[in-house]
Amino acid sequence: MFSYKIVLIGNFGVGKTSLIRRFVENSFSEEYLSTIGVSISKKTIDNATIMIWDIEGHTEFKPIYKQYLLGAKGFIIVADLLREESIEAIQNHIKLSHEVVQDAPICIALNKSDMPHTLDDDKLSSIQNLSESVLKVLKTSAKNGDAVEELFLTLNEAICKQLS
Amino acid sequence: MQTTLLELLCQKNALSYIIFDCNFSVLETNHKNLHQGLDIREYLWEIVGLEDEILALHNKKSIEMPMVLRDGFYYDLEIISFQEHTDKTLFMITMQQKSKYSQEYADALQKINKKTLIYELSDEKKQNNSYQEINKHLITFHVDLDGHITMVNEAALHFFNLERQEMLTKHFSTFFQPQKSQLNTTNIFVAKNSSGEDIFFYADIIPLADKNAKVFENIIVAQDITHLKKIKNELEYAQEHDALTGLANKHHFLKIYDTKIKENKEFFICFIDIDGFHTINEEYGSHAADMLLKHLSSLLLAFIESGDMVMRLHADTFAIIFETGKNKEYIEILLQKLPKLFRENPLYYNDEDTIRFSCTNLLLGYPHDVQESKKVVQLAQKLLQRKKIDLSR
Repeated sequence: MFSYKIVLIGNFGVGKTSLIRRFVENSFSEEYLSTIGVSISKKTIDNATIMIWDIEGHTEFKPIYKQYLLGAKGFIIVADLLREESIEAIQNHIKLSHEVVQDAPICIALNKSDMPHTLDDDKLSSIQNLSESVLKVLKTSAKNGDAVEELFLTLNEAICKQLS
Repeated sequence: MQTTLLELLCQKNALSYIIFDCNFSVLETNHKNLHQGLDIREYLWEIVGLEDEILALHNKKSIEMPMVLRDGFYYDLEIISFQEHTDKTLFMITMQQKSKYSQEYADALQKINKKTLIYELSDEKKQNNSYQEINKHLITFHVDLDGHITMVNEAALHFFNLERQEMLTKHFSTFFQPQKSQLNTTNIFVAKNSSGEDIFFYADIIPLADKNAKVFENIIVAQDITHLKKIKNELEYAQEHDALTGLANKHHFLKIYDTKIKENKEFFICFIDIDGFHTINEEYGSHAADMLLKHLSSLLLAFIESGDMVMRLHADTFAIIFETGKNKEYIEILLQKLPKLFRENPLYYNDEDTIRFSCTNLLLGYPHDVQESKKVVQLAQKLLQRKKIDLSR
């Protein structure tokens, strides 16, 4: 049995908390508030315990922000399919993650896929090509659960491979 | 004697210590919620991921974690390593409990962070767009001495949605009417925009003179002052919001409810009532009771998801209107978390008084359980009371 930490990063209001809630909801899990604007959820899959850090958008105040990423084994970068600026910010989030943890695996969630959106496949593959560390880009919906499980399990699988 | 002194010092300085080994197993502590042999990561999840950094600590270095919230208090944490007399390397975490005002401090910090974030995100392009937005309201045009328009700017054309030739040569009063006022303020004008809305302007009139100081034309710069009407909107806001908690009140609740009914789609409302609120009021006083209401409103605001709304209907009754389309089973799973949320977050009223509380909740759905807005609150109260009686049996 081993534990590791992952962090969800994304602009304010893109649905990071909802994605975590959706993922941890259907099984035994715990959650606690860690500090101002940070909550940690814990979920066990097979023999791995994942500590999922949820950094609220409004604490993305850089000097504090980087500190929360320390020790993470992987990242989930979340953007809102309906908010262009949150998608444009993905590149900066990848950069920030790699400044703290070099080459850490990343999954990208383009959230709110239950809403009508215009993101085409070209854009999707351009996001995938932003970094070699990007494992997968998924259109997710915290509302109906689409691709949420796949998102976390893809990252878990990659991290478990690295750690074993 | 040494132990007693250590205990006294720790107590006096609100300091806890935890000594653990390289396997992260607790060896010694004075912290009440910990025991020997426990994996420290079970208590401090923040440590997961930092194992390598901790094991690499040397005597003079430390890892600091400010404002870690645990068991309802904020602590400043410091992790150091030291050598035991057998030369074995051990680690110690000191937890310095912050004052009871830490929550207020944390809230203030959160607000500052939020403002900083907004500032940071405002890049030049966005700022320029904002200025352009402002300039859109700065309508400028020239009029001759008879008041006929001789020149207009883009903002004016945009505002009235007219072509330039449609405005030129027309009299100023065709578009702007002086606002009648008891104060006889002649510089306030009202104009109808392309959507037919009345927009209020303050007009600066700048005379243009020739070499002989003879005025031949006037430039009028009109500034949108409709925002002053915001005061009116703020009053309306006050009517629909609870002054104590800042949440929307029953009046607003009914308004939202009626709006949602018009969509004719299924949605759910959870009504929440504090158990034994009158007893809390009598035992701790009205101030403590008010603080509990504020505390509960903060907990509920943190609990809800985007698209949901929390409201205070009256006294100790709150409601959460869930986003239309949210699944009932999903909501029920969420609501199962409420008792634990309340249990783990009592109100730390003062040094002596920690107010523990619980709530009864009731989930009603439109259109199956409730329909008319007039009856919904009354019905919810009745059902909540019945549920409380049933639970007390």
